[in-house]
Amino acid sequence: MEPELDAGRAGRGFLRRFFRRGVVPEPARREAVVVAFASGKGGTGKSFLASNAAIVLHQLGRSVVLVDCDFGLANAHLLLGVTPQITLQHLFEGGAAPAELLLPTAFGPTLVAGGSGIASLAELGVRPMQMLGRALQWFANRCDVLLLDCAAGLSPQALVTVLGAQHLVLVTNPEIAALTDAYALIKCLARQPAPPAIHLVVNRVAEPGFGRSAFERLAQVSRRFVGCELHYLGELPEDPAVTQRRLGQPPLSVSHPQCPTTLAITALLTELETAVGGLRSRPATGPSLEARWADLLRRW
Amino acid sequence: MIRGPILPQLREGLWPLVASRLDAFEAGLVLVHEHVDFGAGQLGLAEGLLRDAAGAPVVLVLATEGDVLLPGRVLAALDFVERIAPSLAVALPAAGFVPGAAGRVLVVGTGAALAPLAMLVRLAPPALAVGQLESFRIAGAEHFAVRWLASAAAPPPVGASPSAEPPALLVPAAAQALWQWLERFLRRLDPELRCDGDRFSRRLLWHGQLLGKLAVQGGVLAGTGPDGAMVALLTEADARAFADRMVRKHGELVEQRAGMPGLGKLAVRAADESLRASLRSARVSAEEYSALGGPARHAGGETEDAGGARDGGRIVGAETAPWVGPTLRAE
Repeated sequence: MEPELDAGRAGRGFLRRFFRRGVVPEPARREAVVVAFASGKGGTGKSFLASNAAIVLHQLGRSVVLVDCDFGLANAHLLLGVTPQITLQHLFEGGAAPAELLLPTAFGPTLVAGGSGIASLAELGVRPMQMLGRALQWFANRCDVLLLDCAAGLSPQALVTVLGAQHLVLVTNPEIAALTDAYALIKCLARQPAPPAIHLVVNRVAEPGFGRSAFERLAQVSRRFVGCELHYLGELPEDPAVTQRRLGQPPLSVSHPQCPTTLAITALLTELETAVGGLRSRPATGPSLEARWADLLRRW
Repeated sequence: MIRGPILPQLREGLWPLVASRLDAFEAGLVLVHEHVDFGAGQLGLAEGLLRDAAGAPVVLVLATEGDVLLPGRVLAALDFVERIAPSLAVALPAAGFVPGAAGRVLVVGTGAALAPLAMLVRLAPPALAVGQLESFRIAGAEHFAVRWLASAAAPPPVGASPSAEPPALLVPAAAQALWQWLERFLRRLDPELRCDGDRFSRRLLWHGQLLGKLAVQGGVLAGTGPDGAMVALLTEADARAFADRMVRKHGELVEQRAGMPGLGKLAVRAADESLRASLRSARVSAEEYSALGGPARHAGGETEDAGGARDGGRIVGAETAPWVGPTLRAE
């Protein structure tokens, strides 16, 4: 910090720094862009989109960590073709540090696996959620994009996970049941002091343009009843390449990089990047993810 | 059971229905004379001569199925209004037309006459408005809505899009200053305030609830409060009193809404509400569900599609009830 003054005079620099009263500038803290994927209803294709979005982002040169936050019903490891030995359950039991949870995949992104078939994980209490918040902060300090694949439906755990993110990709289908459950989540988020920006994706669209129609309907209702604005990311087509996939096959964005669905996912991510001002780590301003998490857990 | 068309298909049955609900087409439309013959033989027959809220003449032509003369009749009517309408104030002093006012032709038909109506729309002369009547039932009662087909002369559908600006209100010169003051005042009152209407009327809505109405009637700007009481707005004091009623009603609605569960930005962006309480508030109301496109349930247990007035149609017969918000259009 004073290299020229103290060159050749060992010890002087240390004393000067020890006794100085000015503020020593620290390297700016950088934090990933945190994006949650959620849907009010299960079966909308949220995990499919999250896992393929992670792969596409990696192909675009970002360092990506995908955290499967569908506690007890995790499936991202199946979509990415890995068999995790250490999952979030180990974290909650105190048997693993955040670094041990990172599982590289053959397709590029790093996965943090949730546990599956474990009922207790689906109803995590405050303490495990605090541990998760600290772990997520650790991940966010070390990557460009942190994707959170949230549990379907509305639960306190899912709500905390969504609210801990800066951006929410809300995945729905054009049918009234999916739209209603998506709206229920929007309604809940609209009551919060600092909700994430909501970006809507309409999946399983039978005809081009139906996604936009569904978005317009949902956006109009959200604006009218709860004063919440939505941003349209785009639509994904009803694609046999998706519905006929079997376990063990590579993810769609790898096996079919030029199919309509993969191209649509790429377009969504381009739109998302434009909307959020870049999908790269950035100097952290405002409360950290861990601080936001702690605030939320105080309202548990 | 296969139900036949609710709307009459013959002129004899359709005309009384249309004549009795001219306000469904445009606020302030008044029937001046029935059975107009402007001397072009069979082509010179129109069902009625009307006067709009601005005092201009409107020739009403009904379109029915199989009316091969319809295009010719409409062209003859357009020619009539082009040549004669500005002079009708002198020719028919009792009709109350404004001297020199340009006339229009209004063609109304049912779905059975869709082909000739569509042809008229394609021709699209500027002084022509084309409306199609569509019928539906609510709680067993039949109503009809007017669907304005694409036409430059047609007033935009009421409630077609909550975010669309309605056409400019045709306010008499004497009331211009009052109207401009009210317009500015309403914009400042609440950004969530929505106005819909046509050239002669406005409805003031806040989150689907009616605050009041404004209309041009008899050359005067009149305001109607939520209680239905109408007053002429002749002076600044009248306008301020009307504005005061709007403010009071707005305040009531805000308070009511703040007390209702599950409402967002007005009520509770409070950091101290528990997450579980927030989740409990996330129930979707019947009104919201209907707005999303779900079927509405009516008294009596029948389930009907709530989208009765699709494509921007204007609902008839619901004017006296509190407006609960437009049903969203299905694309």
